[in-house]
Amino acid sequence: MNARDYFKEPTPAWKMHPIFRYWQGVKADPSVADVRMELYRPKEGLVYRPADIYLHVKRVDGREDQPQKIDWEDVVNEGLLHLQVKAVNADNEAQRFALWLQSRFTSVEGHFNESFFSAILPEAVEEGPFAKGSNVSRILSRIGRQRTLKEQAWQECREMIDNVLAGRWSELTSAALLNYPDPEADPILEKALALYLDEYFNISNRDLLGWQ
Amino acid sequence: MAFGISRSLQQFGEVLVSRRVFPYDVREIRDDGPRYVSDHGKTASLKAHGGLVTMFERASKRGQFPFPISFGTLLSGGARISSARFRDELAQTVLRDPAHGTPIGGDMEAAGLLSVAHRWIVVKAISDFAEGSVSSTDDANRARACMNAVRLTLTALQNHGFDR
Repeated sequence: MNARDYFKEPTPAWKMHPIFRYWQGVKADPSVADVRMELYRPKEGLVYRPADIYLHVKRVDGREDQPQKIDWEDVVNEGLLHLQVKAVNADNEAQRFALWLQSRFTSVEGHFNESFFSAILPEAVEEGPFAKGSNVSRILSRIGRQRTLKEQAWQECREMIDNVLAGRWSELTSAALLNYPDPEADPILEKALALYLDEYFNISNRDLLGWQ
Repeated sequence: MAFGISRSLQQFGEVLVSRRVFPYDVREIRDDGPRYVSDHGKTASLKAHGGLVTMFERASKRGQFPFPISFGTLLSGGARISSARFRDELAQTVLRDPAHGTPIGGDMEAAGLLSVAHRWIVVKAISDFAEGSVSSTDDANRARACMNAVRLTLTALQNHGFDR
């Protein structure tokens, strides 16, 4: 085996997932007019139910298949992004990206530590493009700030947070992925970020429990 | 059996699955003028095994259960709590720090498990709300809590192929 074969680029996990190959076939089917996903993740009491994805397939003759249900997995969502499968509406897209942000931010959190990440996250969001959005600004106003030392780890964490947001922006707007025009992508990601922050900092839960 | 943290948002028999456990006995007690304060600022909550959490998430969706199932953070320590004020104080400590996740209830045993287990998860159900004396807990609520937690656990194990 030569070096080129030995070091060949590994196939991404989402491409290897059997459901991806199945949906790839569905998307390529000439009788299929549109494929959409719907995230189902209701809040029950203080916490969200584990998420499901429903796949809606619309045929060219106007008929709709029985929605197909599958457990949410990051790899499944990534596959759907690469198949250019949008959510059923902007609100649901925001919920999908909120969950997706949770997954991406968890790896940043693990890279540093949870307390460090949670101190820097509001600072990063405050200086980012979504701080003035109505949803994000409402949540930010409820999050207490901690003092952080602007050392090297601070800079790295800030960059990783920005990269997570930039990556999701790219997935929403890239022509090869979801291909939303900027004016549509902007409010989706702003709302997704607000939903994520609300859940992460337990803002709605404080209201539900009557604890400010 | 476990205690819930909100009568209005939770119910007897609701199954609580730990994503994390917050060992509230781990804390710093320091003087603060003429009094002392109990500080959880450096208390770390510990994460349950990710694979086991996924196993229970799947079971919770695939089975038809006549009771709610919540995934979140359990408060655990040696105190037999019969005080809504103390319970709320602990839950608020967890709720205020995003590093600890969302509190859903608590017990007295999980903290002990953490000291000996490497890969673990805690599955319990609500038998009381840590408000009245333990003796005032209805036996029917205790029995229902045990049954529900066992039912989810057996379903999860069977789904995972442990019935062979």
